Amino acid sequence: MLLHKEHRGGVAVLLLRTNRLTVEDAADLKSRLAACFAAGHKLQVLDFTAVQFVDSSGLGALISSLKLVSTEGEIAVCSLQGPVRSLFKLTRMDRVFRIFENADDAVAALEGLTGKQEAGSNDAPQD
Amino acid sequence: MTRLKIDIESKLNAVSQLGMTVHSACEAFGLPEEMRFRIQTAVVEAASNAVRHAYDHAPDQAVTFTMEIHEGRVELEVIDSGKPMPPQQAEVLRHGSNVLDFDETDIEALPEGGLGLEIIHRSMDNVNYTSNNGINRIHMMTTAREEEETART
Repeated sequence: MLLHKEHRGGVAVLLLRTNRLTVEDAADLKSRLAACFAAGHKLQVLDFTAVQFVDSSGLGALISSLKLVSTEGEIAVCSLQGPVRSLFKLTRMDRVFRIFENADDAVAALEGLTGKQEAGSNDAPQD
Repeated sequence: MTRLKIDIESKLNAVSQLGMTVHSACEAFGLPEEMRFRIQTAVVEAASNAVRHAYDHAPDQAVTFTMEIHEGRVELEVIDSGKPMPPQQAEVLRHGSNVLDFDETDIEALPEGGLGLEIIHRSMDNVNYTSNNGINRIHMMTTAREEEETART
């Protein structure tokens, strides 16, 4: 899975560059989010703009990552397309994840959680 | 009645292609958007289950999908000839489970696995599983739900 990462203040914004998050990509996503967390990026926004479909394994990877990050930080998701939003609702994950209309709103909300993270990095965008 | 039949190889990328094809077919048949999502979701989960569990990722095995569009309902089947599903999992398909009855404030206790069968159950109006003479069959039926019909009008 291609994942474009950029940092806005103390928040890592991760753009999923795939239109389907399924069992084929789930383990990769999970390990990439864990690596991001281990690198100190404890406030993460996952941008689903490109994602049109998520299966149960993709959802499981998101849940697993949420468990990891929420010990010391936060994950928010944004720009959910119709089918992905429907899956979150069907599985009640819309009550678990912080969901925002766009990355700007998500970043603003997480930046308010300054108590959970020290000053963020200003790394250059990378793939 | 309109009938569609697709045979795929026992590969995960073939499952993704099946999902996209089924979604496009549902769109061409004029089914509501939410219903298209539910059908694609159930079919992908059932076919993925066949590849990963019935065939244990063995290549060159067949997964057959059929869809029948009747007046007011859609009937779906996913068929494989691999290892039968354990009876307790077949019961989850038919009757559901409590895997999604979680406390949303207890992050540590959220389920990470066992979601696929429950998603199939919740996506469809009726689900049955049979295994006879080496042929495993997930039969699913759904109708347009009230909010989906409302969204279409």
